[in-house]
Amino acid sequence: MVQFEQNEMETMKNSGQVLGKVADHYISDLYQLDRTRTAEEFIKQLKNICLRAISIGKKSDEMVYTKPLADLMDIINKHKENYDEIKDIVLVYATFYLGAIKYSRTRGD
Amino acid sequence: MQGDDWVIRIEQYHDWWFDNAVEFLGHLLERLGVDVVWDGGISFEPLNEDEVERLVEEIEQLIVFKLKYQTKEKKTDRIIEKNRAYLPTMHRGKYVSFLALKLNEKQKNSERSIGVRKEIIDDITDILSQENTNGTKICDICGHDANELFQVSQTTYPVVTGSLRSQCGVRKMESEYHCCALCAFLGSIEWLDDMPFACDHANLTHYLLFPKIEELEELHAFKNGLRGVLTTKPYSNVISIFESAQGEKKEIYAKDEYSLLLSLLEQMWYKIEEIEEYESVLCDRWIRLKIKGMEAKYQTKYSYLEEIHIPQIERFKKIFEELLPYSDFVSHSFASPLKEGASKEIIQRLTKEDQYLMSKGIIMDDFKTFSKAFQIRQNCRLSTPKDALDYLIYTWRCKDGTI
Repeated sequence: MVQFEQNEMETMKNSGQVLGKVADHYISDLYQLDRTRTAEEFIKQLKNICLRAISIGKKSDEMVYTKPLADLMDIINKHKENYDEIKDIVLVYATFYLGAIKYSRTRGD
Repeated sequence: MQGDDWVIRIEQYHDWWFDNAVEFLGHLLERLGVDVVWDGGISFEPLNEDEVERLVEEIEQLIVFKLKYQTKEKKTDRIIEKNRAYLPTMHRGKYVSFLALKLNEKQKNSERSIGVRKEIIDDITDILSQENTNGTKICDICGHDANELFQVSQTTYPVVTGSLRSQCGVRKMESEYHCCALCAFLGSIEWLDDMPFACDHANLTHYLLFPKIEELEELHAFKNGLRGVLTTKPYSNVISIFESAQGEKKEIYAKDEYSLLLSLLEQMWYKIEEIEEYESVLCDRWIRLKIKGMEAKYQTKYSYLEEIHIPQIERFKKIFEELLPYSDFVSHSFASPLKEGASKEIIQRLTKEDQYLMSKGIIMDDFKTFSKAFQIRQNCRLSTPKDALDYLIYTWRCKDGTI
């Protein structure tokens, strides 16, 4: 199992946060990310999510920063053979943050 | 059994069930004040009748203590005593084989039962002595000579197969196993041993864990430490305390084998931390016995065996210093619906599955299994405490292991 650097972990965590925000509007994007089988597919889906995040920012007042996703693509290129492990960590954080957003909204209601 | 004139020696079997049973017998004898020598088996001086009687008394007390529990009857709200169901501890109307009759208080003092008890004491005196060892029959388990053989049932060895005849319908093809009185005795009493167990009572499933340590002396030392952390609760003997935000304390118990193991390691760590004997706490090989039963009145039981080998058990030292993964994290995680309309049953089932996946991932050092718990299923996501999640992932996956 690969051990990651501190800053790489931070990037994965922040990416999870961005993905959670996007999944709050488009949950299927998260499912598709989970379904990817290669590093290339994973990066392609991340790019789609980046575009989605920009469009969410334009439609609503909420800004979604996509820099963590760009940094994440660099990390994937660095650890191409172990991209699966990065995917697992990112998806754990994405689901966690999605839940947190949903929860805070129900509390707000 | 073998040895010189003055010493009884029971060799170790090199089998998870019987080695634990030999250790348990040694432990019971030590509790009676008998000197036991641990050296690839147990050795002790022949017991007199009084000592055997005390041994039987001790076993009888354990039957009530271990195999029964008190619970509230739903209809009447009365406290009633129930058998710890689904364990194959009843055989031909007796608890733990031939050892003790199922008797009520009145029957206990009857002439017949006193006679039966005397018989039991005589049997055990014979078993634990040098007599009757030159028989013509051979025990299928230990391979020693015996005068009389007993059929091996699940009471003696929990994963014994039934007869071939019952499985394929071919007559005259019986593969029934038979064992000597000593093996039958050891196998039967092992059900009363201090083993971590948990019961998923909704699914009528029991999980029992047995440490797998080759050296009997080491096994004895480990189990003595283990005995100190076990409690006597109805559905598990490994209980964590859950403290709610309001400060209310609630007992929680694991409902699967990996959560049980994680919870147990935590409890042992917590208790033994004081005496700083870390190595003795961390046993990395365990046998998991899963017994899937039906209502207690039916005798059919399904038992499954699995060996759990925990990779790099030392990594728990670092995790336990800051976080108790089961008590602080897994037990506080539950499935939560993303949309309204998810039934209570689905939420409960997913919570159980997610907790199993998380505990298994942590125990087996398998992040992929751990991450499966976070997948959105049936419109439910997993809700977990954030700080604990951060700490766990960073210590697990970060190079220097800090947040």
